Amino acid sequence: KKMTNDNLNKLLVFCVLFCAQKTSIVHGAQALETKVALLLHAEPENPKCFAEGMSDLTCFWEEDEERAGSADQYSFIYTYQNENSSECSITALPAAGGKRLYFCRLSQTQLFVPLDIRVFRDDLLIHNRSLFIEAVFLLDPPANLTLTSTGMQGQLKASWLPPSLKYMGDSMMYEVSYAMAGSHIGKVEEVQASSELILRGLQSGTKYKVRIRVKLDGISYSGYWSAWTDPVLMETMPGDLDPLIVSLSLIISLVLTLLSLLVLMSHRRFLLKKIWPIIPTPESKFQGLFKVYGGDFQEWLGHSTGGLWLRPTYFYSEEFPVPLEVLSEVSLGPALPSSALPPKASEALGEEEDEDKKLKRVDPALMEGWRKTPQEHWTMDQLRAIHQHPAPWTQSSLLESHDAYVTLNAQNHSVEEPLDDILEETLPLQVLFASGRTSSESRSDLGSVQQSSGSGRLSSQSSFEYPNHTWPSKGPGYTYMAVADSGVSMDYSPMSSNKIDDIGKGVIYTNEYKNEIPAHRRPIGTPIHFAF
Amino acid sequence: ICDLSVLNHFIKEAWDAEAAMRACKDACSIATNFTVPLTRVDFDVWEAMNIEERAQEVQSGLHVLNEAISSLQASNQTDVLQSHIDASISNIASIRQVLRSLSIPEYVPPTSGGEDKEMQIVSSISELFQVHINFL
Repeated sequence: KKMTNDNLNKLLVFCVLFCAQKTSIVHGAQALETKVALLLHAEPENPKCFAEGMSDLTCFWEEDEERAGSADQYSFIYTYQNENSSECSITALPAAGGKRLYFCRLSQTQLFVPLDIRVFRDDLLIHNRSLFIEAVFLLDPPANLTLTSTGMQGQLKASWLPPSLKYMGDSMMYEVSYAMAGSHIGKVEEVQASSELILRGLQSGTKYKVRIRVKLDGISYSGYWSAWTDPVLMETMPGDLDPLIVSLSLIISLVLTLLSLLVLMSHRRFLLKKIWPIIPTPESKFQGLFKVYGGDFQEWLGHSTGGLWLRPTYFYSEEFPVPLEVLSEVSLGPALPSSALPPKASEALGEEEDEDKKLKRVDPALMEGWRKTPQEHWTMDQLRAIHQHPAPWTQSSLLESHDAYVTLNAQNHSVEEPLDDILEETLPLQVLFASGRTSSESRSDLGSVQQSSGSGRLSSQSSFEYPNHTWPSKGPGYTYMAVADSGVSMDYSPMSSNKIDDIGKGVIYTNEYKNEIPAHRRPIGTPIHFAF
Repeated sequence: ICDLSVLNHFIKEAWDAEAAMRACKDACSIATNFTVPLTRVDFDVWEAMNIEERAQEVQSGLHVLNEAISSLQASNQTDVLQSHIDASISNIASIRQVLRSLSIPEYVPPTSGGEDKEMQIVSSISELFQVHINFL
């Protein structure tokens, strides 16, 4: 048993060694194959010779299988300068493509002298060549090609083991080829007498394929490019946000935000009006007028429980509407959001587009009684007093008496109604106030008011809304009027004829007052001036 | 001091000189023969040599080469060739200087030395000897 064990052990060792040698032989054979292929491609002369080290030379030539003879038919004669000739033994090996290769290998060589080679086949010279052995080096590719990260973006470090040839390390030239994995387009970098190279300018977070080959630089020694090493793959560092770019973009965005905020704040009111326009609706004052009866005022009247203003007597009175006179303009405090309007005013001056039609249906006769409650009267004297002293109304003077007054707001309300529609459907407020006529005359079509069309929008508010003497300041675009009782007739002569000023801009009408109460042009929105 | 780039520079200049000589051909032919050193190197043999033997080989070779090129200098050559010749001589002098600084012993071969190698005078001298130098 011991004997068999020993035998088995020996057999095992022998097998291992044999296998190891076989692999090395296989490797060597493979290397030789690649070199042969390389030289067949790169060297036109025959025989093709290459040196792998400091003191060897391998020569070979190729012949077609059909014409090939046996190895002993050939003779390889080589002669160093000023020396006698020698012969090299030839071995034949089959090659791909129906060819045969004949090899000669010298194990002791002289460099820096011309070498003369002659190949004979049956005493017939078939090849003749003179060469310097130090000029035909064909090295093995560099070994241990490794890729590492340099710690910086877009970089990789390639390092390798140079071929171990004495005295020649400084004469070696390397070519590193790198490309993105999967791409065929790559770049090449050359480096001399080094064993590492930093590849720069790579894309972050990408896999790269790198390979390398070696050649002697050609000054002292020269030769052919070696075979490429097997490619090595490595991924570059993932992309990192450049801190400078990040900080700059943050600063820029901050500045832009601040600017936009500033702009927004400075145009706050304007934007608010645009985005969230105040739409006064008379709905609350007319219970169910719009919802139930769809704006049919007559019907609603017939079914309503009545309200403070809904006295049929008013609607059927013979009295004519009282013209409104603008006594002066008052600029008051900050605007308050308007709530509901007095019914008559709102009907006269409804703002919604969809309410235009409703208003049209409103009986113009109803508008004649634009009244206030009996207890709120302006006396003629009061009016005349104000008339004679056209000082701007102060807030207190206005509100001392609980008079009814209507404010007509001019607002820019951009709507895409064509101008034609405006003219057709909505009559400007001028109809309220006939030009060149006295107050005794009545205007029946009070109801229609020019609405939105990009022009000013009229909204009215009643003093009833502001029992606490707080008059809402609607800003400069408003003109205020005191409505006198119908019992008083006033005679006003117009300053000038009405004219509709540039409807495109939305100004309803312009006018000048005889009483020289200044009608200020308002920068925002459209001014409303009323003609008499 | 022993910078290979310097030697490489000398070698390149020798290449240029050789190319110029080759182009010159007939106009630059010389009647006499020159004695030039052998340049062959067998590395196995070289490895076996000691420092003195190596020094001796190198120094004698340099000496002979210098002699040969200097003799060329005497004969009338074109300006282009003359510049090459001068450059080669100065290069050899530099190499000798380098060797001296490396404490490599100098050696002058005996004039009646057995090595009487004749090379292609005009064209290949530089090349052959420079290849010798490049090894060194």
